[in-house]
Amino acid sequence: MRRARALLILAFLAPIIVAIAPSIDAYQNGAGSGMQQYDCGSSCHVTLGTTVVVVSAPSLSVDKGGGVTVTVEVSGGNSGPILGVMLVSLLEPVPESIPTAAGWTITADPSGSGTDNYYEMTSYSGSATLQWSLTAPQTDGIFTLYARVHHGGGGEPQYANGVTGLTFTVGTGGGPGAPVVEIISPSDGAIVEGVIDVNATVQSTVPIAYVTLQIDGVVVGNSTSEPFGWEVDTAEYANGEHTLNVTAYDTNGSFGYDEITVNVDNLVVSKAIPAWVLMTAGGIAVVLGAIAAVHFLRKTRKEAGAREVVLDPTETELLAPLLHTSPKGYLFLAISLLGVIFFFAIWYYQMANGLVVTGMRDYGTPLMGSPWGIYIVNFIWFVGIAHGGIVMSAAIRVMKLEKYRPIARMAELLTVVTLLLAGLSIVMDMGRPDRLFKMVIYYGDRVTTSPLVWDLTVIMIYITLSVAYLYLLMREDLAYLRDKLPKFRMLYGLLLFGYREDEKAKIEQIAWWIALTLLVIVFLLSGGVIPWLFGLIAAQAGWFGAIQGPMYLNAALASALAAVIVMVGTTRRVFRWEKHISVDIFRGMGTALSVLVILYLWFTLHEQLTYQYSAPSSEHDISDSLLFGQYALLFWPVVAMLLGSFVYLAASALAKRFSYVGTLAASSVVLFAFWVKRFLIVIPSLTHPRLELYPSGIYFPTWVEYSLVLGTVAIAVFLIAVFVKLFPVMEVKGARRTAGEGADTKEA
Amino acid sequence: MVRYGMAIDLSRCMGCRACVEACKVENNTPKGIFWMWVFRYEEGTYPDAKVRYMPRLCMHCDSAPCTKVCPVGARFTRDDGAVVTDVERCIGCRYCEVACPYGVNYFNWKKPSENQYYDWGRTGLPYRNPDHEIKYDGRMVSGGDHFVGVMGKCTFCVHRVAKGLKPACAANCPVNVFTFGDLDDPDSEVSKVIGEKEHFRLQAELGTEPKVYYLGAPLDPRKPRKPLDLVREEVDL
Amino acid sequence: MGLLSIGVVLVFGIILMPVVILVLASIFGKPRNLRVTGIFLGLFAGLIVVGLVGMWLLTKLISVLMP
Repeated sequence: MRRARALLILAFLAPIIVAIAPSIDAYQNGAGSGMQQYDCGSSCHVTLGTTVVVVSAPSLSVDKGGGVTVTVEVSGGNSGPILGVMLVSLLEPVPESIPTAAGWTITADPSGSGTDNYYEMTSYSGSATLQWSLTAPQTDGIFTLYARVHHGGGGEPQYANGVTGLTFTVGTGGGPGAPVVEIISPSDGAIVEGVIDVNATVQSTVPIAYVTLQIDGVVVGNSTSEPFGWEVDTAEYANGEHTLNVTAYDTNGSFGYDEITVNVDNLVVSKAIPAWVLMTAGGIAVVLGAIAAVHFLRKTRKEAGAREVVLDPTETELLAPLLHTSPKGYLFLAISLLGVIFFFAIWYYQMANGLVVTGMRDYGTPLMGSPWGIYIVNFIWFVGIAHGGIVMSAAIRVMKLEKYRPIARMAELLTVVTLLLAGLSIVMDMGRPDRLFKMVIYYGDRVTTSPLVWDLTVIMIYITLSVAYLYLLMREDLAYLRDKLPKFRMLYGLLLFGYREDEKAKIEQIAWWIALTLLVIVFLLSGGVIPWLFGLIAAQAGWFGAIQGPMYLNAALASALAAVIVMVGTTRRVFRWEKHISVDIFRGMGTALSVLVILYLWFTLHEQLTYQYSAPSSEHDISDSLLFGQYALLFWPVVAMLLGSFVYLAASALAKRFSYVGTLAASSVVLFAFWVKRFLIVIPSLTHPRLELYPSGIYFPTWVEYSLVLGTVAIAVFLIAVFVKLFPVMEVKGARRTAGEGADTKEA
Repeated sequence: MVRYGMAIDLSRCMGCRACVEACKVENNTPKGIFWMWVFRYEEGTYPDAKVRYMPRLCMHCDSAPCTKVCPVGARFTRDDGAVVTDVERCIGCRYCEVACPYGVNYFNWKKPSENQYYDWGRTGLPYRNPDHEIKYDGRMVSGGDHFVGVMGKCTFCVHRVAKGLKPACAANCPVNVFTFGDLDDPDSEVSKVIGEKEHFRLQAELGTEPKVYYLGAPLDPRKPRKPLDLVREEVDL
Repeated sequence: MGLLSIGVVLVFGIILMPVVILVLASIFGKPRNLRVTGIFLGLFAGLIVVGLVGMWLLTKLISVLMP
């Protein structure tokens, strides 16, 4: 029976295959359309001689419920204008052949206003192209659609089927041309724990666009290139069954997937002790240990106090800060400690709320701000000051200017402390300081191109060598004082690791080489990586250029000298070291400072003249804003301060009328002026973008920024004060040597 | 290897800023952050003044200064030419913003959840795009509202490109200003349109080799240009 | 640019050169005192390690405090 039916269908097909060119407007006149499986009545249509029915669709792969447009082209001669065309899902004329019975939904038929599978046209003239829009069934599988032309004749309805149907792959893929995916690990039904690797292979003749990993229906990974694998931490999912699905999409839009089930079974462990608990515990232990140590030391001191402290008058003077602290001293320490605590409190506030608490904003539209502000200014300022120690050590060791020897250690201390604060200034400027260590992790990759990474390198070298220098040269004094100052016996003893009396000569040799290295690093830091942070950036007018190198070096050395004068001058007064730190030292430094200040003003003239003469408009605008515009209120006072200081210092030098207080005051002015000058370097360029379509920006620091900047100064003061209280900042053995040898040797 | 670029037809742009809106919704960028922007400016002086429009997105430079200066490699160029930011790695130093001459970088000064145009409360954005939850080739580079203290900018909609779609700006322009595609493919639309029409790139003299081409005559340096919308947006705590 | 990029030449060629010379001078310079040299080099390396550990600790502490 089956064979007979098949032969009948073949009999119909054989004579009715002929091709005629399709015409487009045939489908515009429809009548008698409807949802029909096989006929409309025996007399409604004419007999077709031969028909060719061709169905096509843009893609044979479709999502579940996805949209599809099917085009049917009918061609063939007929003897009348009426022809019916229908879409069916089975070739047999049974009710189940209506596409909707198979799960399709027809959203538009050729009439333009209906959703029927059967369309009857009344003006067929030899060819027709008709379109149906459908949505695919909601289940995975293979679904076929055929087109059938309906024509009557005689008492029986007669049909011409499109020979080939359209075989759609819905959902699962795996149809012709779709990618074939296989999850190779883990295996289906496996029990998994911890971090697992999900790996899949994809085979496809067409290039793959992307591959997604879904866990329980949620996309958790997306990869565009082989190997297709992802790390999954099963601890993020509850114990139990979960579905892993890897779906690959090719560039044609077809997709294929593989899905497995895994059983997550993690041991429920108690959480590891969080880091903050350990650190608090450590902190408490340190504090308790310190209290115990202080108690013990006081006891020892009381006992030692009974013994005679064998210190001669010179030593007693030099060691004044170590021997006793006045009430004012304690007050000073307390206030600066409060400043330190204040700093951290405000920093926490900034970290909790984001950098929005500062006045910094993106440049350009629409925020019109400056992305870098006074934190960066502070950073450059501190780095500049940090050169003080090097200048002194180089002067003493390499250039043999022995008269500066008494202040060498203090200057080195200044270097170490200000470098630490330069680093802190950067960290407090970062949006994500909790990712600071990433600069170390990715160091190797980034050192090739990032000036910030070069900065990190040089500053790390600089600070380690400075600490080493400070420490190595202090050992002799610590050894000498270990017995003389019982209070510090334990501390000094600890630091005198491996001390031998005969080490002095080697230490001096190493110290000479460190001083030389540090001298070179001055040029590499303040005349190198720091200015390159700005000078290599073509985007910012006013930054880009080679003069940055020499100018920054000059500013750094000037700031450094000024800071040393201020620090040494203040300490000298407070601890009454007038006898040991000759006024001549200030004279020499003041003269050097005056030269550096006027040289800096000369560089500034260079810069502004260049920008004013006939520079590109971006540079010209910045110069205008500095000289005549919004920043003139800062620029001219800075120039006045520097010029005034220069005049005073130079006059003092030339007239040989020297005032210690005057030099100190002039140096303080210079120090402050250079802070403001760094502001005038960083901000005007950022608030005047090169692209003319951006308006000028506005930047005013907020109270948070001022607080943190002042806080860094408080930290510097506090650290220096603590050091001065714990260690001899004046060379003791060295002073004895110098005193024994007589007066100063060389003039600066 | 594919090298994505864009051509922007200035003769078609009418300054409607549908692209700006589309980018914002597509990438969930918070307040004050406009990865896509359109300049509306007046060129020339009366009586020869004209109002003109210029869309500006990240130029995805081939020689990007931002990728060079990033100290941790959070800003990097993908194999397909898109310059993107890994928001899990970014330390928030803002050096990329400072090094970029085009002003396309936008920093999350404020926590993104607190910086939306409307307080969506604990439920978060209702139009939150799930494509931003996942990593692309192991890097979290899509979407603008992940963390406070990180940088963001136009990504050429990497999450859309991964699906074979055009960036949101290009897909939403009502007048077909944008042509997006593979610059290395001579048969792609973008290569053809650049080859056929007069074009220029912004600030090309800075050596950045931008991959966004403007179709039209280069900006005449003799004419002054004034932005028409000069309102400064305030973003405060 | 390749292998010999700016940063590599700069950092490893120029900046670290004086450090290398310093290390050599501390080992071979007269007067020879390998004990002190050991203390110095140990200190130098130790300080760098302390610096890196300090950075790590600071990062960890801040990540705990930062929301």
